[in-house]
Amino acid sequence: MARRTKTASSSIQGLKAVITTAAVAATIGGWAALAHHRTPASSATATPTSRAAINPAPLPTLVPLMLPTANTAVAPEREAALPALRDVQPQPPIVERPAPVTITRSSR
Amino acid sequence: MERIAFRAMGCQMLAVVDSAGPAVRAILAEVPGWFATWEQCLSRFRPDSELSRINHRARSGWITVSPTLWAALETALEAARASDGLVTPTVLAALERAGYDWDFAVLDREPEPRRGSAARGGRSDTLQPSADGATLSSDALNGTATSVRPPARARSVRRRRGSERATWCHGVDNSVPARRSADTVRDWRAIRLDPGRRRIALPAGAGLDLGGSAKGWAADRAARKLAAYGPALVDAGGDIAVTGPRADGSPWPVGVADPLHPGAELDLLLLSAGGVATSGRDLRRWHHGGVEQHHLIDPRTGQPATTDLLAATIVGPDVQEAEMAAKVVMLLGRDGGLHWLAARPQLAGLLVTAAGRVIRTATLAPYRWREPANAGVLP
Repeated sequence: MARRTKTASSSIQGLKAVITTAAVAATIGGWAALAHHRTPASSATATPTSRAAINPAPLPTLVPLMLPTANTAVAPEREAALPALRDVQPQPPIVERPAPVTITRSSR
Repeated sequence: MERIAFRAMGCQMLAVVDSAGPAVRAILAEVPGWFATWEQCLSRFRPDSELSRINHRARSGWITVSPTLWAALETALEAARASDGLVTPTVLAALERAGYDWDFAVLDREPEPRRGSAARGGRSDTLQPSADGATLSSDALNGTATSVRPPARARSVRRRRGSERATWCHGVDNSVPARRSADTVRDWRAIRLDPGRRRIALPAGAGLDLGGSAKGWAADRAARKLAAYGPALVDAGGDIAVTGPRADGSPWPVGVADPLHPGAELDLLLLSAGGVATSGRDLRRWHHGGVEQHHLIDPRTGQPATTDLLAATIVGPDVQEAEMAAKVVMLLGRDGGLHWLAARPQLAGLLVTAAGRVIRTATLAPYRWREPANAGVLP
């Protein structure tokens, strides 16, 4: 009777060890699997949206005096990343001296 | 662009219409006839002109005149009003006393050994500086005016020796000493007008000379008549009227002759309206009683003006005002002329002193053509 009790107790201890080992292994394996798992795109876009809703960007307080026209150019934001360009002054239109139709002078 | 050049009133004329077509050419062909008609009416050198007949009838009461003479006289009297009498048509006696009783066109036709180009029918503008820094001219013309007297009386060009810088000028030498004669210029206000009947009455001794205003009047009148056919420019011996900008909207380029350097220009003016005129004593000079004379009579003295200016070019709202102003400035001299112009911002002036200095009023700047900065310079 005592032998049977001692044997049963030993089996229970072994089962506990197996369960513990399996739990530890599953936990570590799950972490490893999660570490190699790619983040879905939807979750990345959701974050700023929710952030903007909570803390919206400040309203602009400076208004440009002159709106861009055909004669004005707005420098692109990425221009700083481009190679530096030569500073070129615009050339005035070349106008030839018109030939006089006639000449004023004292009467002759 | 159509144009016609011809001679009239003892000067070179030019009429331009910035348009094309047979109608434009036809109307331009009529312009010399207009000027011939006006000259026949307004010339003091023609004994059969209406002006000469009126001058002979001074002090004889009311005289009915033609619409042409009435209009030209109105312009002359308006110039007298605007100039406080400095530019007056009542200088005939003073001009004749100074020796200017011949049409230069007649003198220029007379043969003269040194005037080969004239004999060939060309022009010879041989300006030469004289000892006093001024310039004189032998101006060979192909005039069309008729002579009052036999040309043999005229000594057309008189040469004054004494240095290598020989002086030439048109010449009428009557060998009569000029007299100081302020009284030879009658007050223009003594002329009586009857607009209703188009009559005038001249006081005794108030002979009329419209040479100081007739060319501007004619240029203005011709330009107005041509304007119906397109933008027009009329140049009457240097007095230039324009009716508006050219057909493409650009202004008319008009050069300003340099009186000291023949063929050179002092400026290029751009005119979109109004007129420009030049008055000077660089041409039309002669000797009388051994004294050099010119055609700008100062009514304050009755003699050719003593002025430190050689020429004055004025841009104005119309060619008649410009012509009047150019003469006023010449008579007042450099300082007086600039002061007079400063009170009239509608006028712009370019003055050339006898010493050769060029003075421009600030109001002239908008009319001047300037070389664009860096024009034609590539980086």
